[in-house]
Amino acid sequence: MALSTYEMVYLLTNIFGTYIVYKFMHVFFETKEANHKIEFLSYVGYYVFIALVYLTINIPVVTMIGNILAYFGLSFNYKAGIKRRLLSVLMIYLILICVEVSVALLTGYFNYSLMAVNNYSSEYGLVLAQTISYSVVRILNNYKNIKQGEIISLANWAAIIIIPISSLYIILTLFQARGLSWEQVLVGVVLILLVNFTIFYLYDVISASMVDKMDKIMLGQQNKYYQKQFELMESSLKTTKSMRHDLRNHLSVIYALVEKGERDTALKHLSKMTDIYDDMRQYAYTENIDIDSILNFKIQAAAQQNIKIALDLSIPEKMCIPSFDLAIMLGNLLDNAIEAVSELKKEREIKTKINYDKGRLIILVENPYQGERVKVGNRYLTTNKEPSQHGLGLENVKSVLQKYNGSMGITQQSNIFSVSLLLFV
Amino acid sequence: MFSIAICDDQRAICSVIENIIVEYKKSTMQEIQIEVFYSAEKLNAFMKHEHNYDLIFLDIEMKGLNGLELGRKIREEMDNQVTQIVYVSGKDSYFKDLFEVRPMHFLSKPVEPDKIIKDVELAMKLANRLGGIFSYKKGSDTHKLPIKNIIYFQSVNREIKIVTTTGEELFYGKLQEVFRQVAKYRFITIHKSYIINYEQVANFKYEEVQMSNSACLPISQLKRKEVRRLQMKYESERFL
Repeated sequence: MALSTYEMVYLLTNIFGTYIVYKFMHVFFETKEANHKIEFLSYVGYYVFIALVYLTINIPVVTMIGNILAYFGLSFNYKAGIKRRLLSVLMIYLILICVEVSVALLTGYFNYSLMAVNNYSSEYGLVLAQTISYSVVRILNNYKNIKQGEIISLANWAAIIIIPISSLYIILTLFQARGLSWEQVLVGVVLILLVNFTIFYLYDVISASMVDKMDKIMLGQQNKYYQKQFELMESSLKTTKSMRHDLRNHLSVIYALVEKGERDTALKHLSKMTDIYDDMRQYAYTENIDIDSILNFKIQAAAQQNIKIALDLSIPEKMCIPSFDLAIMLGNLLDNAIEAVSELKKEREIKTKINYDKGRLIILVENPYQGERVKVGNRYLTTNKEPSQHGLGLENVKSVLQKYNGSMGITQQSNIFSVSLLLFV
Repeated sequence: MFSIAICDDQRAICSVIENIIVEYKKSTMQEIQIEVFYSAEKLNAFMKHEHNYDLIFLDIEMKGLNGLELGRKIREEMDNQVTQIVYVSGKDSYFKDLFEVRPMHFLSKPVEPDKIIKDVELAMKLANRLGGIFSYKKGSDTHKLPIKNIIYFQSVNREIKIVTTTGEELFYGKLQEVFRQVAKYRFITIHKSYIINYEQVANFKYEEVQMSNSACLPISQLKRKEVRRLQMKYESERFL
C-alpha cells in the first residue's frame, strides 16, 4: 500500500500530536507516580492505534470514538478518580477537536459528513492544527489547581461536565447543518472553544477554593492541637513548680530517714518522687513545638484509653516542614495505631520513633494488632466503623509524602504492624 | 576489638554507662574495650594522637569544650567520618547544628540500659559491615583499600576513579564488576557512572546526595525510587 504525501505528513505530524496529547494529560493529571516505561509504551501504542484507524477506516465518527476511548485508556497511566478522568478526557478531546475543525474550515474544508469516508487533504492544515494545539497546551499548563480537582462535589462536577458534552454535540451538528456559510460555522466553533476555556478556568478556580477550604478545616484542627499543648504545658509547669517547692521538704524527710537508718522508707519516698518525674517523661519535650504538640495531644488521647505511647525522638528544634504536614502524618499514623491497639487486652503500647538524619525525616510507628489487616488493592483498611473512612488516613499521608518526594513502607510481622515514612526535608 | 569511649564531665553518668557495657560484655563474651574521659579536651588530645574509637558516648553540655564542638573537630579537623557518635544529654531538645556531626543516636539522661546496649550493638554491626577490603589491579600489581575509607567510585571513560577519605586512585575496570565486589557493604549505584558508600553520605536529597567530602553527586531519574527504597530498608534495619 503506497502512502500519499498527505498520509505521510499525517503520520509525521501525528507523532507531534501524540506528544501534545501527552502534554495535555500532564496538565490534567498528577503524573509524578506514573511508571515512565509503561507510560511511554502506552503513547506509542496510542500512536499506532490512531494511525491504523486513520489508514484503514477513516470515518470521522469512528476516529472520534476511537480517540475518546484511547484517551480514556491513556489516562489510566495516572492516578485519578473516575469523575476527574471522564471530565479531563472530554475536555482534552474537545479542545483538540475544536482546534482541528477550525483549521479545517480555514483551509477550505467544509460540510463533510460524519459517517462517510473523510477526504480532507491539506498538509498545511495538519501542521497548523498541531502547532495551535501545542500553544494551547502551553497556556493551559499554567493552571495548577486542576490536578487537585478530586475534591469537587458530584453536583459541581455534573454541572461542569455537561458543557463539554453538549459542546461536542453542537459542533457535530454544526457540521451537518445545511444553509450555513463556513464563516458562520467557524465563528460557532471558536465560540464553543471559548466557552470551554472559560469552564476550564472556572474549574481551576473552584479547585483552588476547595483546597483553600480544606486548608481552613485543617487549620482549625491544628489550632486544637496548639490549645491542647498549651494546657499541657501549663499543667506540667505547675507540677514542676510544686516539685521544686516541695524539694526542700522532701530532702529533709529523706535526710531524716537516712539518718535514722530507715533505708526502706527513704527509698520508698525517693521512688515516689521519681514517679512524678517519670509521669512527666512520658510526654514529648523536644522543644520542637510542632512535634511536641501533636505527640502530646495524641499521648493524652491514648492515655485516656489506657494506651501507652513510647517515644524515641532525635529531632532538631526546627525543621523546614510545616506543622500542618506533620500533623497529617503523625496524627493519622497514631490514630490508626491507637485504634488497633484499643481492641487488645494486653500489650497496649505503641512505639514511635522520629529521627532526623542527614537531610531525611524518618518516622516509625509500630503497634501490636490482632487478626488480619484487610488489604484492598494497595490500601490497608482500618477497622474503622465508618466505611467511608477506610484507608483514607493513609491516603492523606501519601499525598503529604508526595510533596517531599517521600515514601511509606508498611510491614506486618508476628502481630506487629509497622508503618515507616521517609521524607526529604 | 571494638573500642568505645565514654565522655562526660559527670563521673556518675560515665560509670553508669560503663557498667552497662561491662555487664553486656560479660554476658555476651564480646571483645570490647572501654575508655572513660571526664572532659572533652582530654578525649580530643587522645584522639589527636591516633587513638581511634568505633563508638563514642558523648555528653553535650560540658564545661570548656562541649560535645558539639568536639563532634565538629572529629568530623572536620580530624576528618574522621567513621567513628559513630551517640550524644547523651540532660535535655530532650537538640539544635540543628548537632545534626551536622551526623550522630548515630541521641540519648537523654537518665540513660536507659536497653538503649545503650542497642546503640553498642548497632555500632558494632556498622563497624563489621565496613570492615572489608576492596582490591583492584593496576598494571600487574594488586592494590588494597579499606572499604570504610571509600567515599565513592566514578567511571571516567574506561577507567574507574576511587575517591577515598585520603585521596583518589585510578584503575582500568568496569563499574558493574566493582559493584559486585562491594554490594554487600551497602554501596549503591545511584547513576550509571557513580557507586557510593552509603555510610559516607553526609546529606540526602531525592535527586542528589552530598558525600562526606562535600562532593554533590546526582541520582539518575531512573534510580531515584530504588535509591529511596534502599534508604528505607537500611534505616528501618537501624531502628530494629
